[in-house]
Amino acid sequence: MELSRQPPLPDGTLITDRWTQEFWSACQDHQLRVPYCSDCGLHRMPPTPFCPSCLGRELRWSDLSGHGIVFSYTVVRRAIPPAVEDQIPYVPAVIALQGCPDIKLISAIVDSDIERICIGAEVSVVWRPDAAGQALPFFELSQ
Amino acid sequence: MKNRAAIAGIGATEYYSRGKSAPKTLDELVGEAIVRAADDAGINVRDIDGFAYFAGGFDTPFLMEMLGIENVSFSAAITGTGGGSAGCLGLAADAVSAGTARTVVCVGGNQQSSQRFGAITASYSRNAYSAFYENAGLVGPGHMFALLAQRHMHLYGTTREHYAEVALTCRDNAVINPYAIKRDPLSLEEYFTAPMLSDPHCLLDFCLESDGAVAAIVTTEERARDCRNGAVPIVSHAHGGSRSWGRSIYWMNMKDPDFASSGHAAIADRLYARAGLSPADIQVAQLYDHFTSQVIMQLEDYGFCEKGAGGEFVKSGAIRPGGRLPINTDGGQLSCAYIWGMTHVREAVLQLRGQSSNQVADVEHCLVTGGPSSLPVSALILGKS
Repeated sequence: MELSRQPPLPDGTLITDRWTQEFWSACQDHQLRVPYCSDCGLHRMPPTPFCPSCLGRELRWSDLSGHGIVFSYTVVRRAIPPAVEDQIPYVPAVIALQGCPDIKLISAIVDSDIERICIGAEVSVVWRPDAAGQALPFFELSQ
Repeated sequence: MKNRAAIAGIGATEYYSRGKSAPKTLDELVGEAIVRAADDAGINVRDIDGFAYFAGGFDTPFLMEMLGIENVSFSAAITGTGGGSAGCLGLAADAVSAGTARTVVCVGGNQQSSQRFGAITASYSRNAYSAFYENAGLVGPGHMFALLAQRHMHLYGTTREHYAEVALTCRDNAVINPYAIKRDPLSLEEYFTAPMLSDPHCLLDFCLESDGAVAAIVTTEERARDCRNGAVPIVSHAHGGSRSWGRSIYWMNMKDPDFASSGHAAIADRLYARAGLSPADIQVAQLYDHFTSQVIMQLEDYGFCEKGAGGEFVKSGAIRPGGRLPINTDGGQLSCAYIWGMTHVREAVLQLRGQSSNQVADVEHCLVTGGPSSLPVSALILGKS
């Protein structure tokens, strides 16, 4: 069985602004938390200063289960930058989140049997820190 | 149309594999393409009074300093990246039709020894929105578009054989093109034994990494008719796109059917309508082929087949010479050269002049597309004077 690895991460520190900070703070608590418009209820991810439906600015946040479905994925078997040669194979994926199917996260499927990864597979969030200690959401195939 | 614009000249450097243009500098390559385009039109390079670019473009005052151009009345770039490669000709067309400028040069060029596009995300400065894609290992566009290709296969039954047909068609076209980089024949077996980089994309689904520059001189059709090689009118041009595609590969929140698409459907109708044309009026196309899968999705988005039927369309032989719609007749970016979309403009001009290595008979209109990427995407239809 071939397990997927954690993808290479960029150098430096993840950048936030006042609209995205809450998402990443919740990640530190190992909680997937997504924003919705205070006025009309529309989810908006990534969080932006305006609601594209009603142009409201205020956000509220809701906690998600961390379960989702693989919307698409790719198995990366060759490293373009040679420095990440020891991190392949890894599996970038787009995950449709349970509870708000209109929101998709760009993430990766880690520690999972590559043969079993397919579109529609159920996944659950797992947390891995970047070099600066920020917890990042990745996903594993659900058993 | 009053004051219709036309391409009066096209110029290019030699096409080099990545790094092989050394010791020439990028400015030198760009200048070489511009001088050759002016020569092809039979005009003095000093008659250029405008510049149009895409993907950040070049420094107009430096090009003026270098080439001795005294005055410009137009200098503009289409926003975004390779999506604007065809669209920069549209900027030039509007400028000359409106009389803002008389003779605009559109130029693109790259030297991938300094910037490998396959790992281009490492060159971006990080911000609050890159934080939402940069931790997934999507190092280059090849990884990102693989996600779209995988979904296309899931939804419509597209196969790797279909992607192979795009790669093999381009290679067969390149084999007899004297200025193509990849001129050795390619077999289906070789395709299937090529290294898998980011499934379903293998090495041969990726475009080449090359160095070079291509320039086009745009003026009014009336003036272009008096030029050395005559006029290739810009019959229609469009750029833009829909929010449902938006930042596309840097966003990934497109819904079906937009997710597994090229993002071009939103401009295709306008492109045809402006000229009163339909897909039936297009005899040959130069489609932006950074990845084979995106060629199939563009064939769908430009209405040459139903959505989802692009795989079957190419399998039928439609994109081969003699087929319904021969594409990328110079070998495309997959096998001729990757100059960020501008090779397609050059090949379209050659088709309309009857000078292509893979000349299609009775060409009236050639479609040229810019890169499927973050908006704007763009396209042109070139015709006959």
